Amino acid sequence: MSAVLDLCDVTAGYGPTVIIENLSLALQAGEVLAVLGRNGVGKSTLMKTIVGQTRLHRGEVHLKGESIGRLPSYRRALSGIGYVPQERDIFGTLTIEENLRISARSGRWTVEAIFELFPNLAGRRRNRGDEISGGEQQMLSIGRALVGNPSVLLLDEPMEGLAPVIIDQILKVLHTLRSAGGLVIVLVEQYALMALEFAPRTIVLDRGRAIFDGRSIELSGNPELMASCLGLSGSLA
Amino acid sequence: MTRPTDTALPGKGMPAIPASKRWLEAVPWLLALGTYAAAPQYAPLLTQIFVMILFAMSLDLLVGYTGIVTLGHAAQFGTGAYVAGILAARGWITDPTMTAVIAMVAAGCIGLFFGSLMLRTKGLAFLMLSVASGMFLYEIANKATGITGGDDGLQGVVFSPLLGLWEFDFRGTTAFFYSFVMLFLTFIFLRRVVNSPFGWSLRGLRENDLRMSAIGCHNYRRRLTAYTIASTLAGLAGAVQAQCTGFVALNSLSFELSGAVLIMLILGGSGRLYGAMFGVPIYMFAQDYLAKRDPTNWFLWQGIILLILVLFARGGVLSLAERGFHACCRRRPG
Repeated sequence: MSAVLDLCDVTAGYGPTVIIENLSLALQAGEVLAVLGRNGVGKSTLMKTIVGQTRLHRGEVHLKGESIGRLPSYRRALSGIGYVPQERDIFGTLTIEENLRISARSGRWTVEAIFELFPNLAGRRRNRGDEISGGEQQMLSIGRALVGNPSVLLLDEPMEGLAPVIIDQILKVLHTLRSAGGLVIVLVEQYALMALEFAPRTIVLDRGRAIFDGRSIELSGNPELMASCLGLSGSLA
Repeated sequence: MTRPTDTALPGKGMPAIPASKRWLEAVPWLLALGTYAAAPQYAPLLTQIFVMILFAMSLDLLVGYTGIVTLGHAAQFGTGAYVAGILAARGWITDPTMTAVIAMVAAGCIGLFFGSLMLRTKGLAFLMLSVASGMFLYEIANKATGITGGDDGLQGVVFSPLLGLWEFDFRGTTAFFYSFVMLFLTFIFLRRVVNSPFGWSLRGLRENDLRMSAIGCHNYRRRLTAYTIASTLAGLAGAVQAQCTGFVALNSLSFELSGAVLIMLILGGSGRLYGAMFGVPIYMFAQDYLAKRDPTNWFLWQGIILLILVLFARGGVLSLAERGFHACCRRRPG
């Protein structure tokens, strides 16, 4: 079976600065991957490299067999890359509904389907993006990526700065997406145990290189390996 | 698709007018008609104001909604004015509607041409190119005296009766109603545009173009479309100006006009369509008043007023009015 998302020996960064080095990664349809690592090791840069917001120095990025490594960001989005950035980047002067509608493309995930997935948003659909809470903004950011009906969903620290009750809601949605199958999910997360529990496969980055790529259970079940890869003891959540 | 949100007065940080107070939107239009009814001798001045509002509204699509600040918008206004004027002056086409349409197409083409070059740049580079585009056309019009009248302007521009029924009379009655209708139609059109998914995407571009790109928007094309639409409408404003005054001045392509219309827009409040309706009359009346009171230093006073506005009322006069309105609403619930 050919990979939906395939990174071959990717070296990328910002301008002449290299952040990601010789990274290879292949993800099949429905596969869920956690990307872990300390701050500044290149997790977000990896996401931005897939989205097309960095400079690709070497290597190739393939989506469903097509090379997208040299395509501009908007073409990658149209090809099926959905991105939830760390900063959320909600359009503050647009309402929740407008935020969703400008991203919508035909497919399973319609604006109404997003409102069913996130009932909090449905009740506030006429509120502007800058009038909603951080948790609702995160829901909206995920919803906005989903209405583009992507084949790959990139989530960059979606739980950052959120209250536990909101994290639970978002996790529930992510579990729904995972159960539905078909969608490749790449999750960058600081809450390592949560990510390891959610994603069957994990890669750990260190200084732009993958130092671990394997089953999450291998990592979570081995405190020594956890400590060596992540520099932390077992209690990471 | 559900009904778009009513953001005729969206502002950049203020809530829209509640549905129960929607009747307020009719006030500027009724005020304009009321002023004419009360003092028909001011029809030419009101016509001039309508033309400038139309022009400022077209600029608002760029400045207020798309985040494109240009100092060369008069290039399209002047193109519209000269195209309509030359067609009529030469007797090729004198029908006002037809000349307006041709002027709009010409201004749209000019906008498309300059936009396709300039929108590849951003910030200061774009600003400089926009100034250059206006100066380029200004100099062409200045040198081509045989066609444009050069520095003396294009004179002897006579249009046939509007829809074959109404002559452009010396009292300015036809011009008043013609410019009023054109302004109203443009407003309705722009209101639909800014409240459509296309309009939302323009606001998205203004806020965060990197994010727009990441959701699949071809930012350059979207900006170019907005630029062409704004240019077309600026061309209409220019054509209406030529039709209502029977004259095209060289300064209709000038940098001063581009700057003045930008100031008018900022004065009223950009990004809300109605801002132009407040900014233009305030600017024109203030200019008239200050020029009479202090003919030598009136530019200084104008600058001081603008400085105060920029420092203390960043959203323009309309923003101040909105804040007052919402403060009143909060004090008197229901």
